[in-house]
Amino acid sequence: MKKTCNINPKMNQLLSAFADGHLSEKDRSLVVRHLEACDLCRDEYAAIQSIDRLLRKSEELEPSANFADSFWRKVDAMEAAKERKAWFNWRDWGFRPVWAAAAATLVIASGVFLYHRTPFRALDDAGDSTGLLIAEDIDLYDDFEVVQHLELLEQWETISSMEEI
Amino acid sequence: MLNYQNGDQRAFRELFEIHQKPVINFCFRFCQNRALAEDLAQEVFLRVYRGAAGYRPEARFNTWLYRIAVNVCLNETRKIHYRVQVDSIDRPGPKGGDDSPKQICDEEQADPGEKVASKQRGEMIARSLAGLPDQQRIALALRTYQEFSYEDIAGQMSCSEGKVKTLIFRARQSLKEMLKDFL
Repeated sequence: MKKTCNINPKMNQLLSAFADGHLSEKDRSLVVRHLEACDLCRDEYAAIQSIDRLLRKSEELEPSANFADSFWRKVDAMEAAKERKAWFNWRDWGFRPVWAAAAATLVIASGVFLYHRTPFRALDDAGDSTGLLIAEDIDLYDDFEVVQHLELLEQWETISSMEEI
Repeated sequence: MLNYQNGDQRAFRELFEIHQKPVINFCFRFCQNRALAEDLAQEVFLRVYRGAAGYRPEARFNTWLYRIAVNVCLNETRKIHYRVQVDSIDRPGPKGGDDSPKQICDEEQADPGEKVASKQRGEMIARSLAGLPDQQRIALALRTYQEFSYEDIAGQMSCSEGKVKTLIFRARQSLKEMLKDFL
């Protein structure tokens, strides 16, 4: 059962702070005078000091043998992840007009290059409507060679007869 | 710490070497489990490593370090609702090692009876600390083992000095009851 000082019920709390040296000068003097007069509080103060002594002389772990190694491995892994992330981090690259200009130039150059390479372009230039047909029905692209030589097929009978001659 | 802030990696290694043991022990007093305590301590140092930029020279490094340690320990509680368990002194550690902490008193020379009594005392203290509410345990550990002032502890726990005073007082009252056979 807890015993409380009859003279000053708040003395228990003051004793705890007194043991830690965290009282104002006024409260410290009050406690010192009180301890001289009160057996109960002297016992309480002795108990606080015993608890502190008991706690201090117990429990001291040494780090495991692999504690430091394990920690530095984590640090290395964290650094590696940070480097990978930084490479992709656009904010780290910063906004610079030169990047925007380079990107725009690349897009335009790719467009021009692809435009000149496409077979549609050659067909359109030749006034052939086959390209348009292919564009409208992409399945025709599979038979592009056939489509490209439709004229020959249309004239197939004439050509065959000529070969017979 | 300021050297590390300025890019000196060796400075961080020195800090790690100096503070690893006290931080592990602080975490151990919180969770009473060696493996978890070491995991928490590593998390503390990783946060220091990553958060060096957030350190302000106005605060002592020690105070800042334990503020991080308090957060890591309390986060752990919130995260997994960890129930503190005190490992039996007879149970081997996770890797077959001795998980029980060493006693500071000169046990090497003590007779077997005293060794057993000392181990029982150590276990009882651990059990009693484990039985305290998290905040009381942290406040008392910071005061008793790390010897921080109430002002520092208030900063580390983000509360008032008055609350620190009350937490420590209540912790001592509880311990007085739990450890009365050893006082």
